[in-house]
Amino acid sequence: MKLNKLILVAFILGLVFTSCSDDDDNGISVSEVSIQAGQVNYDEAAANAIFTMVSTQTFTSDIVITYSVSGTAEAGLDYGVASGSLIMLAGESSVDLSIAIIDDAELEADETLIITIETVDGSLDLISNTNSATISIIDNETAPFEDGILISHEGNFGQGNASVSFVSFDLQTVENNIYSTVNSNPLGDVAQSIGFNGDFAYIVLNVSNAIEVVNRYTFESVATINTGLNNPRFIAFANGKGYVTNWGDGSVSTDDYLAIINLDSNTLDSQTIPVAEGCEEIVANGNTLYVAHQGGFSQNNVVSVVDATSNTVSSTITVGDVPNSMQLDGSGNLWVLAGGKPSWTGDETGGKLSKINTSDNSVTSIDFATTEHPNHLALDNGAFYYYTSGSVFKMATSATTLPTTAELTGLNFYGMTVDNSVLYGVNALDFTSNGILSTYNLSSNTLEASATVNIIPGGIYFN
Amino acid sequence: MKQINLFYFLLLFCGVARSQTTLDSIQKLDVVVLSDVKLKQYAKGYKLTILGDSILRKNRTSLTDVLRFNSNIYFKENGYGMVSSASFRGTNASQTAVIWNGININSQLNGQVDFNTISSANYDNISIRSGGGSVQYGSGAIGGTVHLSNDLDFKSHFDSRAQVGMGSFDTQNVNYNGSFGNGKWSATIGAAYVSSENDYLFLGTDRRNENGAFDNLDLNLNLGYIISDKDLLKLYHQNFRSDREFSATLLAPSNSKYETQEYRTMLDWTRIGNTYTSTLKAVHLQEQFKYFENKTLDTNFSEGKVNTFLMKYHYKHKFSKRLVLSVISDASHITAKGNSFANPNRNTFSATAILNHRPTEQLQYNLNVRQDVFSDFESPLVFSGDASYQFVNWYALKINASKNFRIPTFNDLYWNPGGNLDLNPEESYQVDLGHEFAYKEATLKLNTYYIKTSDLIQWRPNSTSGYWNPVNVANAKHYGLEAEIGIKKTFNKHSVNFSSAYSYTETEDVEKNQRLFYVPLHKANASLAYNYKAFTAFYQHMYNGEVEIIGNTLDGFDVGNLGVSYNFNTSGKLVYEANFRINNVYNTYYENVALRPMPNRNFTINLTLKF
Repeated sequence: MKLNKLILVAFILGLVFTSCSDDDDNGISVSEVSIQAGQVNYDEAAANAIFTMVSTQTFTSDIVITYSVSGTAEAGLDYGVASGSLIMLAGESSVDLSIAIIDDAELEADETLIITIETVDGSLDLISNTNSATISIIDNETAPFEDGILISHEGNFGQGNASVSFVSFDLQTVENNIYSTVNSNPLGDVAQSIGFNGDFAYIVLNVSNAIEVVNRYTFESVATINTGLNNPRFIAFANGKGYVTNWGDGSVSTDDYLAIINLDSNTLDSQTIPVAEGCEEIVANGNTLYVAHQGGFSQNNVVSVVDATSNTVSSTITVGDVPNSMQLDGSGNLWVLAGGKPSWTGDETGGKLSKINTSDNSVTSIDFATTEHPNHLALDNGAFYYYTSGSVFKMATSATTLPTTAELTGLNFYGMTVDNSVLYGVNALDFTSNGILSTYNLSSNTLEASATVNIIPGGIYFN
Repeated sequence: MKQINLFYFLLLFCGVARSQTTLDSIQKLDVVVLSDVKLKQYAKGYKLTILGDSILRKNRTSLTDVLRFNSNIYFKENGYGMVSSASFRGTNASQTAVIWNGININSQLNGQVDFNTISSANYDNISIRSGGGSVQYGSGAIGGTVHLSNDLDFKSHFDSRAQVGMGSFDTQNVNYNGSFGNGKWSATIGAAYVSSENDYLFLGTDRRNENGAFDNLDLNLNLGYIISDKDLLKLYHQNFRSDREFSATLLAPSNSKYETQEYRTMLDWTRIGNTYTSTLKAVHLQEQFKYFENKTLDTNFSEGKVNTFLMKYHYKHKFSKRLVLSVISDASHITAKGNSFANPNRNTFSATAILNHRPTEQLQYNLNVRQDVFSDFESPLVFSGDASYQFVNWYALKINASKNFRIPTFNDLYWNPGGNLDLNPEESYQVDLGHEFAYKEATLKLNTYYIKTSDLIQWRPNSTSGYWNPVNVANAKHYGLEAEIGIKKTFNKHSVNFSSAYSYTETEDVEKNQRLFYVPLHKANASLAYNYKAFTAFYQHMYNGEVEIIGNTLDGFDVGNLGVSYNFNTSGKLVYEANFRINNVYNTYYENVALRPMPNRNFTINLTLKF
C-alpha cells in the first residue's frame, strides 16, 4: 500500500514537472544549442580558451554548428581563428570549441573575445537564447616601469646625459636610461625633476628648456614641449593644467614665471604668470599652487600663492631664506623648509621650518642655528625627516623644537625622500661617476640596500 | 738635418756675439732672424716640431685646425670656432702651456688657453715642444708647450702680403702682413680679421648650428732696433679681440655670447758681449672676458680681467764654445678683478739656472733647475735634464726627464663660492725617450714617454657646504708613443711633401682606475702636398679615435681636407696666389665634443697678393 502511494506521488510530480517544462517551450519539444565559456578569464599565456556548445537533446545525426568571433581582441594577433564551424556528433549533447590564444609581447589592456553561435545545422531555429559567451584575455605583460622607483638624473650641465632609471623596490634590479632605450633618442640636458599626472610623467629638462611627456609606465614619448620654457625647474598640476616654474635667464631677477601647460594638447598657453626671483619647487593644494622661491643665482625668501582658477598670484608669504622643500600635511598645513643663506654670501643665515596654515596663510616657524642649512624635507607617518650636513633628523609634526639627535649620519645625499618608514637617498658622488641609491630602514635606522644608478641622480619617485 | 741647421744657427748667433767691433757685425746680425732662441738651444733632448710659414699660410684657419692636422696634439673643441682646448699626451687643457715670444700666456683665471682666440695668421712659425717644460716656461708646461713666434729680419727689405677670402657659412677673412728691414730697424705688422655666421648644417638633420657666429681681429706690431753693435731693442705687441656666440648643442639651446680681449706687450733689450748675452724683458699682459647669458641683454653680463706685469732678466755666460750657463730670474705682479671674486693679486718670483754643455761633437746635454716663490702658496723646486747624442749622422738619441708643476689659478683660489686657499700646485714627473732618424729628405721621429701627475686640482661637490670646491684630489698616469714622419721628394720641377703624425696615448685616472675623459687612444694625421711650378695641391687627413666621456664613449672619426693653389706671375715682385680649399671633403658627420656636430663639407677661396 505504502509503496503504491509513493509511486503515485512520484508520477504526479513527474507529470507536473514535465508539463511545466512544456509550458516554457511553448509546448514544442525541440533541441536547442547554447554556449558557455570554460572560464571567465584566460591568461594570455594559456594555450587555448575552451567554450562548450551544449544541446538540450541529442541529435540522431552529426550536425554542423557555425560560430563567429568578436570582441576587442584581434584575430591573428591575440587569438588564432576568426570564425568557423564544428560538428556535434550524433548522440552527443555537447562539444568543446578550443580557440588558440596568442601570447604576444605587447603591453596592452585586457581584451574580450566573444563566440557567438550563428547557425545550428544550417538553421537559426536551434539556437538557444544563450547564443554567445564572452571571455577576457588577461594581458600578461606588466607595464615595464610600474611598481618600482623612478630615479631622475640631472646628468652634467651641457653634456646632454640626463637620464631616468627604473629600480625595483628591493633595489635588486636596476634599468638605466629607460627613456632613451624605449624611445631611441637621448632624453636631454639636466633632468631637474619629474611631475606626474594621471598616466603621464612630465620630465623637466632644465638646460634643454624642454619638458618631455611620457607614459609613466612605459616611458613611451607622448610629446615634447620645447618652446616657451626658459630654465624650467619643477611642475605641478591644478585645475586641469600643468604649472611649470621657470627661472628665465638665471642672472636676471625680474623674468621668472610660471608657464601653463594645456594637458590635452601638451602645448603651452600663451598666458604666463610672472612671479618673484628664483622660483623652484611647486606644490598644488586643490586649485591653489604654492611656489617656493630659492632665488636662482641669488637668495630669496618667499612662497608665492597662485590661484589656478584665475592664474594670478594671490599672495606672497615670507618664509626662511632659500626655501628648498615643501610638504602638505593632511590637516591643511603647508610646511616649508628653508636652508638659509650659505656662508659664502657673507651674510649667513640659518635654516627655518615654517608651517603655513593654508586657510588663512598664517605662518609659524622654528629656527635652525645660523650655521645649519637643512634640505630635503620629507613627511611620513606623522613625522618629518630632513637632511643637514650629512645627517638625517626626524621630528614629529607636532613638535615645537628641533631634534638634537640624528637618525642617520655619515651620509651624502643629493636627493632624499621617505615612504612608509623607508628612507631613499641618492648620492651623486663626484658628479662624473655613477651615483648610488640607498634605502634605510627607519625602524632600525640601518642601511637596507644600495644600487648603482646613473650620473648625478637627483629625484626619487614612486611609480 | 734640422739639428745641424740649428747648430749652425746657434754658432752663427754666438759668432756674431763674439766679434762685435765693426759695423760689419751688424750686417751679420742682420741676417740672423731673431726669434725664440731659448726654445731651440735648451731643447736638444726634446722633440721639437716646427710648423713654418708655408704650413701656416696653407692652412690659414684657426690655430686649432692648424695644429689638429699637423701635430700630435688633440683638441677638444666645443663646436667649430667655440672654446678649444689642447690635450698634449693626454694631459688636460691647463697642462699645456702656450708661449708667446718666450712668455707663458696661459690664462691666470682658468690656467688654459683657448686656441680659437689665437690667430695663426700673424706668426712666422709655431713650434711644438713635447714634454715637460716648467723649468723654462713655468706653470702648466706639463704635457708640452706650443710656441708662437714672431721673427724680426733686419736685412733690407719691404714685403707685403694681403689676402682676402671667403667661405661657406658666410665666412670672410681679410689679412695684411708687412715686413720691413733696413739694417738698423726691423718691423713686422700684421692684421687678421675673420668673421663667420658659422651656421652649418648638422648632417642627417634639418637643423643648423644655432647661435654659433663669431668674429675676431688680431693686430700685431713688432719692432727691432739695433742700438749699437752690442745692443738690440725689440718691441712686441699684440691685441686680439674676439666676439663669439656660444653655440647650442643637440640637446641644449643657447642664447649666450662671449667676448674676450687680450693685450700683450713686451719690450726686450738684449746686450751681446764677448762672453755673455744679457736680456731684460718688461712685459704687460692683459686678459679680459665678458660672458652674456642672454646676448640680447647687453647690460647683463659677468666679467673678469687680469693684468700681469712681468720683468725678466736672462744672463747667459759662455765659459767656452761648449759650456754655457744661463741664469734667469723674473718677478711678476698679477692683479685680477671680476664678478666671482674680490680683487685678488699675486706676486711671484722665480729663479732658474740652466747649464748647457756639449762635451763632444755628438753629445749635448742641459741641466736645469728652477724655484718659484708665490705670494699665495708654496711651490716646488722643479728640475729637468735632457741630452742628445748623435750616434751617426742619420741617427740621434734624445732623452729628457723633468719635474713640472701647475699652480692653482685665480679661479681655483678665489672663486666665490668655493675658492680654496689651501691648494697645492699640481706636480708631475716624466721621462721621454726619443729617436730621430734623418736620411736625405726623410725624417722619422719616435718618442715614448711616461708621465705621472699628482695632486691634480679638480672641482668637487662638498657635501658639507653644499657647493663645489677645488681640491688636490686626483692622480693620473700617462704613457704612450708618438711617431712623426716627413718625406720630401723633388724630381725635375715636381716636388712632393708628405708628413704624418701618429700618437698612441694611454691614460689612467689612478683613483677611479679608468681612462681619462676626452683622450683618444689613437690619433693620426697625414698630409700630402704636390707642387709643380706655380701649381700646388694638398690633401690632409685626420683620424681621431674614440674617446671616453662621462658615462659613455664618443665615436672616433676621419676627416679630410683638399686644396689647390696657383701662383700667377711668379717672375716679378708682384705675385698673385689663388687658393681653393674643400674642408671635410667626404662630408663626414662627426662630433669632436659630444652633442656638438662639426661642419659638413665646406669651401673657402682666398686671393693673396704679395708685393
